[in-house]
Amino acid sequence: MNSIYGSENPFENGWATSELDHPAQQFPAVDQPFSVSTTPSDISAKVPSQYLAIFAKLEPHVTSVSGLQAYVFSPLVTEGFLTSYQASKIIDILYDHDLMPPDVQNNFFHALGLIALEIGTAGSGDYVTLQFKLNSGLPSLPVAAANLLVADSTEDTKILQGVQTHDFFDPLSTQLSNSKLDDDFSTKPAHWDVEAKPSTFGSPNLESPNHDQTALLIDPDATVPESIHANDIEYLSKHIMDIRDRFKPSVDAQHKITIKEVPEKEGLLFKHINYAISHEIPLSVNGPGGLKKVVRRYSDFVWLLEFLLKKYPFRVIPGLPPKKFTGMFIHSFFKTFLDWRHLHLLS
Amino acid sequence: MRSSHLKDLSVSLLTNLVGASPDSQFLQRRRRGLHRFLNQLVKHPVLKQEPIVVTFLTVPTDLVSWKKQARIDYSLEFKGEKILTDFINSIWPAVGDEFLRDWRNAELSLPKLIDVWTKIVMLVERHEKRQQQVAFDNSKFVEMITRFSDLDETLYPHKITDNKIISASNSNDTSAINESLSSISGFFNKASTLLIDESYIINTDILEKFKNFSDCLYSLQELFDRSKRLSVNTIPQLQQRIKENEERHNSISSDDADLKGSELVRLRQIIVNDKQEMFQQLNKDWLIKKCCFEEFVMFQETQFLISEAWADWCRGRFKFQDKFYGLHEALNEVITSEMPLQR
Repeated sequence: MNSIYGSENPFENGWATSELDHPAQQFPAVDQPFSVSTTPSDISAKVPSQYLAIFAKLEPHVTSVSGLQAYVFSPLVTEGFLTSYQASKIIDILYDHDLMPPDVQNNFFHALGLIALEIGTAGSGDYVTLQFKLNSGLPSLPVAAANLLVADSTEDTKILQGVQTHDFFDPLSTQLSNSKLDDDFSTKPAHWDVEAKPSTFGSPNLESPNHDQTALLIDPDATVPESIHANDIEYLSKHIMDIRDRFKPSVDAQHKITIKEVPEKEGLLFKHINYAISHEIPLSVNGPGGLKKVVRRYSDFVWLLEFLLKKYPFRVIPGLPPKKFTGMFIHSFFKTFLDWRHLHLLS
Repeated sequence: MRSSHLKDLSVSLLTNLVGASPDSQFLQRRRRGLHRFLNQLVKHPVLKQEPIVVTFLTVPTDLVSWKKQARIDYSLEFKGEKILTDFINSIWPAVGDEFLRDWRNAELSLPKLIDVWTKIVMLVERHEKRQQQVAFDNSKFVEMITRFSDLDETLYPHKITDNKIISASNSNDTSAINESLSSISGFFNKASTLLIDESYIINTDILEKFKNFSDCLYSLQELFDRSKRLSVNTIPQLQQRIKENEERHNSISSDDADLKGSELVRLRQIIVNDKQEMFQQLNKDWLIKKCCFEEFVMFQETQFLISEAWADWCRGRFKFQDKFYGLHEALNEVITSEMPLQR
């Protein structure tokens, strides 16, 4: 899944390395329909009457894929007509063949056709089979399934909306599983808009401050929302102060760590120095308070620093004393020696 | 004499290089460096919450064996995170320019600042060394004055006064002089103790604060270096490629050629992949910016470390000078009143 530009840099795209379950469905990124020519203009003559009933019933609810998910797939999955994998495959197909939005009658019938095929014989719900069936007529859904879809129960749909948040195949949220959905992106019905107009993000680099705002505003009248707080100095100062409040670097603040050498002989040739570290910092939320003592080696510190550099390369990370103070050490040693000799010559 | 010194030197050099004794200067530097590292680490609001840091500071097990059974995730902190629109829409438009300018200026002048502050640290160090030397000289004073007092009897006989006319004439004055000399010794002794205490405080406390600020400057320098190295992306190239492929796609789909199907699928896949890649890179770029922005804003707090170091310095110096003044005052009273200037 990683970059096709195959960067050597281990940090490149590190945040997105997790494998995606349904890569094909993620970004139906292009605006133009890809398969207009292969989609018959009107298939309503080829569908069972139940399709028409279901469409009449659900049309207002299925304006987006999430509606389709909530009102069609979730009930079918819940009732065991489909597995969630089958549902996701069908959504993939709908995206791939530009059968969106689902409240267009043709698109909706395609979806139902795929569902009917899939319920009939698992694995047969593919686009080619569907096109083939269009010639003779699309298969019916099992009566129970059709009844389920037209069943008039607002209660159900509320529950289903709840279900939806769990296995809703939003192109952004499936990929960025930890992302917060309560922002502007997710409220847009068509999520792929965001990717289709990438220029609204801007791509300012830290090294090129001058390009920055222009890059951000390449497409000023596109989806960039008004910058709500751009001139709200109070809001911005508070934001800055909140960030600053998190960091109190004063040395004499409470919770100082102390460190002592514990010489320890291990092996015949080398003497390792251990460091006894003690402190009373309440670090873990529910861990025991009070005095904590650990023993660490210099190499442990090196490992810790290397870990932090890998995980937090864009933060200020304190440095370790060097492994050897070569220059300084020899210099100061000679200086001590010379001072000492100087004093002895005096006496 | 010279050769014996060289021998001493080579012996101590050897012990220092092979198995450093715990109080060697090298180990002291390292211990203090580690001490500063840990104390800076636990001040950082994000790093102090990192589970590995918590483990490092709390799990009593030997770390080597702990590492063997632990699953350690080395991936970047933003993994799976999406930039908040509030940052893009509100914070950045208002402060982005200012921040980028500040960041750049700081990056440009930080080496100079580090150089200057390092010199200040060296001056503090030198001051501390000089105090030590004065203290050492003070004990030399004590030694020499005592020796002088022991010897002055031979020049100004005054101790045995029975039937000694000259001695008797000296008795009061020379004794008074010797007593005063011993007061002066006493003063030098006390001053020496004071100087050594002062030097110790500077060395262990005040100097560490000055170095603590140096460490902060170096850490920021390293952040500048890393972000320069690691925040590269291929967004412009991707954008270009997507544009080209979309144009090709459009021109092919308007053709009527038979083999366009597979070619279209292939192109579409490439475009989809590129867009996905670009979205990821843009998101990451924003997250990096947000992170650096936060770090830079937080770093502003380190200015108080300058105050802390100098406030400690002043307080310490004042206390010392106050005590020192007291010693001088007492000595002055004794000497001016009790040291005879004439018979």
